[in-house]
Amino acid sequence: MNDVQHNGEIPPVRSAQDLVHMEHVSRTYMQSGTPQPVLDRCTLSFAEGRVHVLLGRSGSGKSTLLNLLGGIDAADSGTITVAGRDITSMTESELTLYRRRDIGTVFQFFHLIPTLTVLENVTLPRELDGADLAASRQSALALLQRVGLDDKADSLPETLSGGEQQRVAIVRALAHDPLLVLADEPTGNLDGTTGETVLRLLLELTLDAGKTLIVATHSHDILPYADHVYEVGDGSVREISIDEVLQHEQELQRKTRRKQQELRRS
Amino acid sequence: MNRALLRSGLRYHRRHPLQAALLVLGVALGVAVVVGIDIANVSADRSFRSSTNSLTGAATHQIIGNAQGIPDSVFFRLRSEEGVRPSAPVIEGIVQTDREGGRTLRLLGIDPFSEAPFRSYVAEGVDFTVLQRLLTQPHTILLSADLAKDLQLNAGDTLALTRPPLRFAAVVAGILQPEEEFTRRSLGGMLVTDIASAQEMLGMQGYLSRIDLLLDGAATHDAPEIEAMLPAGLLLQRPESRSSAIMSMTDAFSLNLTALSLLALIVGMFLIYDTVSFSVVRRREQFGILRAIGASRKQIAAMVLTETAVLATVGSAAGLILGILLGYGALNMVSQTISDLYTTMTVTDVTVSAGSLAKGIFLGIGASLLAAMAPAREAMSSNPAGVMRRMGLEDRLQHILPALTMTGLGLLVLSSLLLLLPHKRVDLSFASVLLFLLGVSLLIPATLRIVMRRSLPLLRFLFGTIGAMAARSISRALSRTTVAIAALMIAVSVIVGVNTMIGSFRHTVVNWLSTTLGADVFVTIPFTGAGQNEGTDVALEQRILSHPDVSRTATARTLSLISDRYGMHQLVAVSDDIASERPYKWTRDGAENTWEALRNGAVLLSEPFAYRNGIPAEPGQSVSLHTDSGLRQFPVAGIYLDYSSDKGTVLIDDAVYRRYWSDRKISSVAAFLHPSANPDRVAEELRAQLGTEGLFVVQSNRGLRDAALDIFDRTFTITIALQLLAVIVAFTGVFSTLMALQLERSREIGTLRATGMSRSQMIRYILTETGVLGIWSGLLALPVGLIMALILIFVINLRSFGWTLQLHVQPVQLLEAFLVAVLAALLAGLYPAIRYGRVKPSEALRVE
Amino acid sequence: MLSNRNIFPFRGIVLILIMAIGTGCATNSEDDESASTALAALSGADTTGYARAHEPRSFAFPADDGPHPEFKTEWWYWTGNLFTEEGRRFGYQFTVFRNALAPDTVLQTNAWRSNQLYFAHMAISDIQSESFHAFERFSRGSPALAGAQAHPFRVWVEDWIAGGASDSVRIVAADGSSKLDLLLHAEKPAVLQGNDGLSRKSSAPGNASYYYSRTRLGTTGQLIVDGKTFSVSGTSWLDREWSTSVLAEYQEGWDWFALQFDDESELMLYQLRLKDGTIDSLSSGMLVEPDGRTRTLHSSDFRIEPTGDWTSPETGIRWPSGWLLHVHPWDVTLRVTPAQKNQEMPTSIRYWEGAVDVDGGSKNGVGYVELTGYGTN
Repeated sequence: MNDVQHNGEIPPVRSAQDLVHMEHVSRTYMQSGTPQPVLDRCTLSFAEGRVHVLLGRSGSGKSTLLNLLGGIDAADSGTITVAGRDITSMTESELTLYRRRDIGTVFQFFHLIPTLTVLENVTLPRELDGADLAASRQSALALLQRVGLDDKADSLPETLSGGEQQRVAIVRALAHDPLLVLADEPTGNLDGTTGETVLRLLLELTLDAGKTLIVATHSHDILPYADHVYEVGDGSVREISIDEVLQHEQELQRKTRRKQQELRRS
Repeated sequence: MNRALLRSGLRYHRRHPLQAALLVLGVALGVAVVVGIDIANVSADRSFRSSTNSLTGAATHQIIGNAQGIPDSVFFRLRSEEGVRPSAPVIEGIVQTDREGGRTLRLLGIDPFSEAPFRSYVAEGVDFTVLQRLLTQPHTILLSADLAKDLQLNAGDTLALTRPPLRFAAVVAGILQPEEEFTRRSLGGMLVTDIASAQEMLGMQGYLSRIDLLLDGAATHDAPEIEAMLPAGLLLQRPESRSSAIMSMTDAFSLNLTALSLLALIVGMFLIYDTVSFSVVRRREQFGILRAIGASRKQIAAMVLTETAVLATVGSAAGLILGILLGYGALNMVSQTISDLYTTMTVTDVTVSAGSLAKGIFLGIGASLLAAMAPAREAMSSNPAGVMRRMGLEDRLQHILPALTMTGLGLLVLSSLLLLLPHKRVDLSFASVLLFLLGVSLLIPATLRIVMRRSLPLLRFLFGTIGAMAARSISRALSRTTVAIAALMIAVSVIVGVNTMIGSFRHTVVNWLSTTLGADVFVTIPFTGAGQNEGTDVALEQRILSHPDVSRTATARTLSLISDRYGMHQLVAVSDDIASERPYKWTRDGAENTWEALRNGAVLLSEPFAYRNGIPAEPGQSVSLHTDSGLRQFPVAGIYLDYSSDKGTVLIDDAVYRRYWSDRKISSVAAFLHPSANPDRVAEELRAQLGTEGLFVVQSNRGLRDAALDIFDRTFTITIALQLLAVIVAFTGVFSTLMALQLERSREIGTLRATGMSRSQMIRYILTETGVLGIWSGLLALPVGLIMALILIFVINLRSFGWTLQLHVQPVQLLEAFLVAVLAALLAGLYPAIRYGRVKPSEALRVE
Repeated sequence: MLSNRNIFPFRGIVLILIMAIGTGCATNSEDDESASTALAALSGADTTGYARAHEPRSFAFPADDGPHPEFKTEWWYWTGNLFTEEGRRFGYQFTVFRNALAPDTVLQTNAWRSNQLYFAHMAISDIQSESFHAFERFSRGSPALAGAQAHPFRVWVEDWIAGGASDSVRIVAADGSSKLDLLLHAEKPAVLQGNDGLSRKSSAPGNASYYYSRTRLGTTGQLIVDGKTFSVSGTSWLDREWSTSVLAEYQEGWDWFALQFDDESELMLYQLRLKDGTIDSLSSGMLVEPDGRTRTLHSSDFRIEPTGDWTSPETGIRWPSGWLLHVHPWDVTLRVTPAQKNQEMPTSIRYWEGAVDVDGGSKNGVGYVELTGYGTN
């Protein structure tokens, strides 16, 4: 297991208990009448307090998997247990509460509510739970300060850049102290430098708070920070080692070089 | 209700003011019409009641007579010989002033000494000086402070009054200032004078209009005793039976108005549905996010409904204000019609009752919430995963399509049942029209699906690939397009239905006029207000006969009566049948022998009379009439069609009339001219000879027809306003639906543009689509509208008024309605078409 | 008791008129403004066009039993004391007033046109049960409703009628559960009051009336009181007066006595009370001997001394109740006692009109007393 280095500090060693456990989970979509099996009897677990990365191309099912974990989508069969609770047997209202309290999601396209201010966006999950705005303000502002956006607390999302919006989204995902943080292509819509900054902040805030982070992505930028990497595709999810990924990369490089030589010759 | 969500929702509407404005507008218009009509109805009702109240006062009974009224001597005998107390002599009539453009006022003649128990405002308003003036100076009047202000009169001023052929200079003897607001208002159009002056001014020397009695425990005699004292021909009646008879006539009229106003509200509801739906569609992704974050279904539904409620409240408030303004205008039309048809209304105060306003707000917010339910449900079920994946809204529609269709059919069945059952309830009949429209709307999705598939080849043939795309896109977006079509269809079918009904009615009336008005020139006592029974001397006939071009004449005596048995009706005594071919619904002895039967003492009944009083078209029927010599039965020899009024007429031979009634006057003379004579010229000459005094109105056949049709058209003016409204609301509904539609397909549009569709091709595509929508709305509206017309003509009109109308469909009207649908749809699609023509492919392709 | 329906609706303005014109100027109405309206109506312009009582005239009967429409005001005023066979006592009053609203004769375009205003009072005093029943009637003077005529003699307001011949009159008047049905027979010829019938009221010329009385009318008939019928007999008195004049402002009211003695003589006295508390010197009276001879009394010939009073619980007015009449020519003091204290007319203008007993040693009898102008406390 790689040591994750950030800010020069070495994180404390955490216990390797599983937060999430999936057992024979299947999910099939109906696309204009034809069934597409996205996940086929997948069984795996995610340890608590770690950074898990789901790798795969678009349409591979990694988003689906995230949706299932986030209670946004329902599995066709199998069970998913999160912190000891079986979310596959939850009713809609239970799921709503689960989403509200136990999950924090960061989306590729930010998905801030355009008609709420930054601060209101951040405190929204708490407010949906009936909490008083004033009470949640303080902690929300503190978090915003950490990402350097406390001065934009009363601005509307459309006045922020992409990177700023995603930073707000990260705060929103964490402000209500969830069990699990899910990120679906968090840097997919951001350019290189901004993406890196956002990624760092995501990791920093999540790990500082001791949260479990599951990131779905097709980019390899996050690999240095991952505790576990999984390959998603063809209905299955399997854990792979970083070496395997690097090997793939090297293969790719070799093939590319060869092709180039061919082209130069002709 | 979560405050954060509500805040978000309201801010959304603030950012999209056009949408919010549309919703507010939809509610406002619907509420305005409902409130406006309600105000008009309530005001007319109150004005009628209060003027009745001020006339009747505290009287519990009234003695009334026939044509001329009650001879003085009856009162003197009751009072001086029999000592009947409390009792009050009353004279009522209509006079005209030259102020305020010829205002009509009611003249009430009373005996100040008898008034205290009946109309205390009179007794209280008369001190000694006023009494002296009233009694000793002829033609002195009292009027309320409000009326005095309107006419700018003080005590001692003169007011010129006319009552053809007489003119007077009435002097104001005093001003009445009753304490009670209600009484003050009800004196609005009334002048009070001493009974001696009233007899002079109204030409009623020797007669009274009625005698008021207060027969409670303290009275000197009870009702049976007094009835025994009355000579034959006089009746003892309760005032309520009089006014309730009049009110049952005006009720039917106001019910029709209310129904039309509710229709406007329903069309408004479509608009609300569209706009809320549109806002939900626009925020679908937002709702998905909210659900993903943890908003519950109920919270989202509550958000949508609360937003709607807030906007609806604003709209209702605006609607109330608009409605009050509309009410003023509507009241004028309503009172004019009531004055034309039933009884003169001299008070036209607008009463804005709390009830009308409450109704408006309740309906406005209620209807909006109802209309927003479906979109709220849609928002509620926004799949959190729908952010990533478009869920099949259309799939859902396919799912419930059978249920919708079954419900639609069920409503149609229910509606037919309500229509076919032999009841006379007008409100149930209107409810069945509503059910019919709803049922048809629910059948539209299924119909469209079938129809679109069939029309694909035709559209491809006409418009090429674009045409085929248009057809398919309509089918694919059925859940949206159905609503647009339904709204437009209902609006246009209403236009078709109402116009066809009016057209048929008018056609029937025109035909009827030409067969019934057989004479060339008519001389009548001017219509000073329904309910007055002035007549003139028989000598008039001779004067007309003396004109060289007149070959023969016929007279008619028309009386407007109210009886306990038959309510409000007319008795017309004619000396001859002036109809060239009287249209009979049924005769006992055959058309050729019917007039003979009349001369032998039988009577004819007009169709409304027979319908309203449940007299079947069979032999052996008779009517009981109060003649001057007691109650008599008259056998019925036939039922004829009569559209001159819905009051109901009993037609009797003149000689028979004079036998049993002591009245010797006539109301009109119909003159037949020699074949070569010109009716208009003869009318002109007779007018010069007779009409200068203002006592008679002389009209040629054509003039009379035009006048009758004028009244007819005036009565239906108000429906034009409603139709216009329906079109506006439908148009905006279609517009917002199309906007929603295009928004949903923004990716498709982007793709099309990216693949090379030019701007003009895009415009053509969208316009073809909306054009097709318009065409189908129009086509569907025609049969639906015609069915509605059938219902209106053969059920509602019949049950409201008792008339048999002939259906008369004017193809031009149908074509016009069809074009309205198409044009509205095209216009509605113009803006979206141009807008999406301008969209850059990249923008549209980028999923927001 | 009094029926509400018959209360004159015009707040007694006209009654003020009557009182004012008659013998005194009563300003004791609650409504001073309307009083002054009435007075304004009466003074000056309002009395132009009417005939006035300037000088004595010759009286002719039965013609003068009828109305004199050229004068503004007129009345026929019957009062009487009646007894059943068992001796149960009743008093009654029946009066018809005529008031002209305009001096000109009117063009009779219809049966309602009239310039005359008629109204009538009827009252029964039921002495045994100490109850008082009073009623009013009003009407315009169109013949079908109200009027007066001499041939045959008839005075009526709707269904209250007095008619017959001048020396034999039948009065029929009913309201509610009360009714008068009396036949009056003149036992003496009419007596002309004042100066041969001209009765001066104040010093201004023209402020006078023509005045005669029938001082003894034998009466029989029926009374219905509270629904019970009584056969009665007794004596009545008729006062007839017509005039136009307005009286002086300094006059407050009058007290009028009409007494009928057991010895078949009668005495009429009235005193005009001035606002300053003194008695007008024009007060006068008349003695009528059993054989019909008359003697006029001047104010110096008599003195009226109230002995007590009665305060009306209804109005709070303090009426004198009980008098000593000092009649100098007879050298007698008559004690006059109301048969019943409450005989107050409950009309807008309050006056007291009631049956009295007379006790004067040799001169005993019954009578009627009228008091006006009280109530300005």
